[in-house]
Amino acid sequence: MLSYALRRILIVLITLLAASVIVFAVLEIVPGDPARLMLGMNATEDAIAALRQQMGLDQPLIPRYFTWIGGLLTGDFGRSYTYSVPVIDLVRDRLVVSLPLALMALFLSTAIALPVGIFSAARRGTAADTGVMAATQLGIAIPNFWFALLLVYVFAVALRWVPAGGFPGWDAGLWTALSALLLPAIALALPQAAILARVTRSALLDVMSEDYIRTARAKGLPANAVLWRHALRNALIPVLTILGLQFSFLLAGTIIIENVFYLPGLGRLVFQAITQRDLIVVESVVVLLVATVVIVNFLVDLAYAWADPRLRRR
Amino acid sequence: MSAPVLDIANLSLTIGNTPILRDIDLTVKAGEVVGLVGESGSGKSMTAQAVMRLLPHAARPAGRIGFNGEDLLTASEERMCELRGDDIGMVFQEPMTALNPVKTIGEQVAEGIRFHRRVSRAEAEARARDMLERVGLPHSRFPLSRYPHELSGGQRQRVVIAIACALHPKLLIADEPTTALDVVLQKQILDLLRSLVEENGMGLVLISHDLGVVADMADRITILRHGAVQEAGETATVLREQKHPYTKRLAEASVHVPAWANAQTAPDGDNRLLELEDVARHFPGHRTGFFSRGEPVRAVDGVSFSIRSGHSVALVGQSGCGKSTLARMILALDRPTSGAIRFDGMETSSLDEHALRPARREMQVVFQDPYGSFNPRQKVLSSVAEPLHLMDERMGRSEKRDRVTEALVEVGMQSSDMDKYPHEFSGGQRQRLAIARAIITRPKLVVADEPVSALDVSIRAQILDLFAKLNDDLGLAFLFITHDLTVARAITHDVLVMDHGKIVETGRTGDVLDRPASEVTQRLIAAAPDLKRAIERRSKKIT
Repeated sequence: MLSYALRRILIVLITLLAASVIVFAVLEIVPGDPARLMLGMNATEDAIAALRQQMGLDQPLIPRYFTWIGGLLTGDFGRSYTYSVPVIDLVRDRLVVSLPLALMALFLSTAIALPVGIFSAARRGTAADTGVMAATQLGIAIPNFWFALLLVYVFAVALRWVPAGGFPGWDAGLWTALSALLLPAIALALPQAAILARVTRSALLDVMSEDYIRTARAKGLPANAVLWRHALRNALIPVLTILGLQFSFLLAGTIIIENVFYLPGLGRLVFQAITQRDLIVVESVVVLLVATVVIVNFLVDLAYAWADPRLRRR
Repeated sequence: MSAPVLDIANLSLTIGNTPILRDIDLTVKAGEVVGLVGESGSGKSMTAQAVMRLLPHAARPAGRIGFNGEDLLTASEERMCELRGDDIGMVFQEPMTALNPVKTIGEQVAEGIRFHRRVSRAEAEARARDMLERVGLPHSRFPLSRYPHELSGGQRQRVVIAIACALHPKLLIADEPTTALDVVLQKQILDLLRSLVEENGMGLVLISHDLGVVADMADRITILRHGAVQEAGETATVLREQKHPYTKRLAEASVHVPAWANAQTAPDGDNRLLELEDVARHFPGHRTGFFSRGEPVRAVDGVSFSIRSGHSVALVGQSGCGKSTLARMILALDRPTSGAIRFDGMETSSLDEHALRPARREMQVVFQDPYGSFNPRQKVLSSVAEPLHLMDERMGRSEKRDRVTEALVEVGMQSSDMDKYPHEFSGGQRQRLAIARAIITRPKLVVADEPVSALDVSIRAQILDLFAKLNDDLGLAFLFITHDLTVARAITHDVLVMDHGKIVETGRTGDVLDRPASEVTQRLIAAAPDLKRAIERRSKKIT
């Protein structure tokens, strides 16, 4: 198990290295001068030269990569061109909104999907199962930004239970902050929950037709006990795969949802940075997102090994 | 005599409007072994599932299944949960999949004990340890913390038996418990079941399609066909007298030897079609640390032999002896670690994929499982015609159909079958289709990996006849990979006995099987179920 984990960590490091090279290459080597691009058409040559120097673009390529990667490792992401503050500060301010949002959405989607999937599988073919599956079909079909608007209309505008948008900051108190994130988290989580519930159901049904389920029944265990004790853990393996993929989607999904709810999160930061051609910010956030996805996949790999002892020796 | 443990009377069962079982009667007394014999679809397994009340949802049983005086068909589900695993145990056919892969064997054996006896975990584990010891998995080598994937098929079947017998059930139902195992493991498992019957006085229903196994084990026998009992009685009497025509047919099919003109007159000459020279295949050992691996596994270890044109050769040995690895290398699906393989004048072990085309055309394969070897969404025409892409000339549609027709007729099917889908055929018919696919390129060698072990005895006899005919008519050379010595005896000239990656004995099939020289061959022969021998032994016991 330890050697499995160590080998996974090695893979994580190699992936991160490769990703950093690609991100660096795309933004620095592709045709066009980033400084000129960032300053727009009307910039003076002096301003461009100054920015080039500030960005270190006058240095040769290889040292520039190492300066950049060294900076990333020590928390120096460079300075944002548009905001004139260190990128790390920008990112930190936004991360405290986006990360809790993504985690909340992930938690909600799992908390909805697993019970629904298990319920449906245990009552396969009944009216309840058919109804639930039809509902998940709908959940997948509805675009989350539209669903977000619907939520705002019902819970913020009509019922006035939660604010329609904006984020008061964590200083405003835990509950106030959480209630501002609640609607966006639900909007993000619902389509994911629908997919996950269907995956859980079909994985469970697959497992329930396995020979070892019959063996467990022949031991005298009632059908429900067999489902919980024998089927669930085997069915978790495909569920974990989808869960890992969904976290990446949730992070990407925040870009739209944060715009709908006016949340000062990472998604909005990237969106603004792209429109303002603040490439340093874009670069840093992309690297951060890549790192997050890679680390989530690493955690999924560890969870696989926990769920399936056959993987531990690989 | 005491009252029977199991007393099935007039059991009928329908699924939808299809009758599956009709008026089945079956009794089992304590300490008695009753054999339930029949071909696939005869209702053997459905009868067992009815006793366990683990039937498919749509199944509607009627009649009476008495268990110690209680009718199981009317018992509540709670009552059935009490009985299952406590008073009635069941062992299934497929040991590789019968255990939960994510739970340790200790958890799986102890689970039933804890559920029924409400004892502490430690107590249940102690009893699980004793039971595993009893079935031949001593704690020193097989601690409770082992996972199923760390055990072989035979060992897993022992765990399944330990689960079923942990609470000393009064009745054990074993549904084809040894069908997936080789003969040596089969004998061990059957011996274990027999000793459990004798020790605990439990009743055993042994379900099997193998008359030899049942004749060896069962006191009484019930023969099923199309969901109805054909004949029932003392095993020795039923099988010796063979009064019922169906019994007679089954018995004849299970010792069937095809009429084979080339049997004695194997084509002579020194034409070596296939030649292996010191072939070895090593696999990297298990990881033992971050960078280190254990000793490499020598799956095939220095094998040399040759097959002449038109000869039929058996490669026999226990599971895991390296037979299949060797076959993959002969078929150029895998490369040897060292050594050379020559086929039809080509050194196939060193050719690239393009250069292998003529060799691939000249050798084809038939696999064990007639269900898994066809793409269910392809018509028979496309599946059977598949190897034709190996031919050098491009073939038109009508020519393709002609070739497929020819191959189908050769294996006893009709040309109209080519427009059907695989699911429209029975297992035996599918195996014919697989053979048609193998001979369509007119190959010189066909490698057949356990081609009849998944088939019913009557189908098996037909397929053996087909192989004999193809050898006579087309002069095909065969390599049969099997653990079944009767197949070797029926249809091969020479035999190679393999053990732990090495060939330990070779010779004319009859000579080797009648006078085995190596210990491995002797063990295989002793373990092989033999209908005649078993009937004789049973008859003596009675008189």
